[in-house]
Amino acid sequence: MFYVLLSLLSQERCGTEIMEYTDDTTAGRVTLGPGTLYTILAKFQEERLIEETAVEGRKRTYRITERGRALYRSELGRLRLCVADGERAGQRALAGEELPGLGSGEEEP
Amino acid sequence: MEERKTVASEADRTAEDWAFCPSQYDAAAIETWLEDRAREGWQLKRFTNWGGKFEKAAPRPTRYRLTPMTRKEKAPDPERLELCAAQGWQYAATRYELFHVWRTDDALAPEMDTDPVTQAEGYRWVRRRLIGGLAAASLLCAVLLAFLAYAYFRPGGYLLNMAESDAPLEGLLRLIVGPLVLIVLGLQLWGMDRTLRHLRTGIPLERPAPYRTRQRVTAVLTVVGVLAYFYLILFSYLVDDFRDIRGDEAALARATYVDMTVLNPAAEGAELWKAETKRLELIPRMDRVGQLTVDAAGSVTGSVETAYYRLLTVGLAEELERELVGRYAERANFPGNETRISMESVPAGDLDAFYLKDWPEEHRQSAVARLGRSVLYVIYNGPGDLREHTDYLAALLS
Repeated sequence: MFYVLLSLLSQERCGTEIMEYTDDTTAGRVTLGPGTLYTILAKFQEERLIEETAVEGRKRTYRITERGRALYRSELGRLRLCVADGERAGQRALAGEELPGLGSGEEEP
Repeated sequence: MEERKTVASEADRTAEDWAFCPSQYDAAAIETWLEDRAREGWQLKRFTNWGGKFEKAAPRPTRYRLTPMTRKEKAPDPERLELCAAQGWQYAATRYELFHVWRTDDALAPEMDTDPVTQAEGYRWVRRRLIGGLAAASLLCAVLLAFLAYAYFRPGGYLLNMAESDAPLEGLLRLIVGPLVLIVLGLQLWGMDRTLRHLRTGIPLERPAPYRTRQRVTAVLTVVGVLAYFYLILFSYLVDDFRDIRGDEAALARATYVDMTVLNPAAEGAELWKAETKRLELIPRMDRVGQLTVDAAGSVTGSVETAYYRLLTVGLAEELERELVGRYAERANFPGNETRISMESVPAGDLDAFYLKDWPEEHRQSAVARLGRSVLYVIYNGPGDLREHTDYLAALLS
């Protein structure tokens, strides 16, 4: 969901372009299946997060709405906090694990 | 040799097969079924009401995926077709107003749904349709139960009305078909909600999904349901009549009825003007027989009509006995004669119950007799008294 909004931040795109953008941006780490993409596009249109701007033959182009931008910002903030939480907790856990390890390591020949 | 191979492959390509779909709403089960069929050399051509039509193809591993519809549409929109094609997925068919079906032979093609939570979101329309189906089935169930309630409460007696107008299995089917449809749809809704709960917590659909047992159960229920529907709607009225056995000596010999010559030994040449039989689940044996005697001038000098019922249980026989006694009283209310005439209980040691109505001036009597599970209703016009023949009636009913 995040990458669909992200792909439309800078320009209007069609479904294929959204998939390609996601694939390129994440270097193939995030794959957006066509079934998933279409469910998201339908849901986002229904929630007025994106809107259709043009239909050329088989191609439909979408753009993000103000509501969609607001959700993107909110989601970005949430993800930043998630990462910060993860880093803090991870550092504490790592520090706790390393202390005994270091101590025992020094005594070994 | 090469030419023969071409002819064979052409015949294979045009060969078609049909199979029951294991489920209406379980995408993973349908996908697994379609993939198994592809490995057997059958590719989906289209869906029919209760199954799928397949065409012969080279056996190969094919991935099938169902995407739930988000609105009413006959086929996916062109952009979606192109997008899926670009990812290696070909549109195969549409499951009527529920799913679009896609397939790919490319093992590297990305999964159709890559996010279970989003996939669950796509099921909203399909779930609404299932709930709509459940509501319609509830209505059908209510109508069928209303028929039963009407049959039970309408004047004349439930068992007697059933005996006269029901076809074999009619009452039983009305009782079970509606609730059966409700149970099946309820189970499907339960299964779908269970799947959606898994998807919403990020667990992808489990594939391969077991489907063979469900496919067999679905096939049996569908066949039974369709047969029951057509039987109730179209055919039951063709088989709800009594069967005339006047020309069937063997059936006539098995029929139970009061013989005119026993009641009136002077009656000679009694003519059998009616003899018919019928079987129902609650009343496994019913015989209706009528005899009359005529004089030289052709006038009727005497008659006897018997309705014999053997019921499934003694309790049912007692209920029928009450209905016969009640109905007889109502039938006495001829137009212009508002007197309600009841039958009177008469002690008869040979029988469990014996009721009689007597019109001495007209030499006419009618009686209800019961012994165990057997009940007899007799109308007699002629000399003599049914009270003197209770041993004979008991012998008939035993």
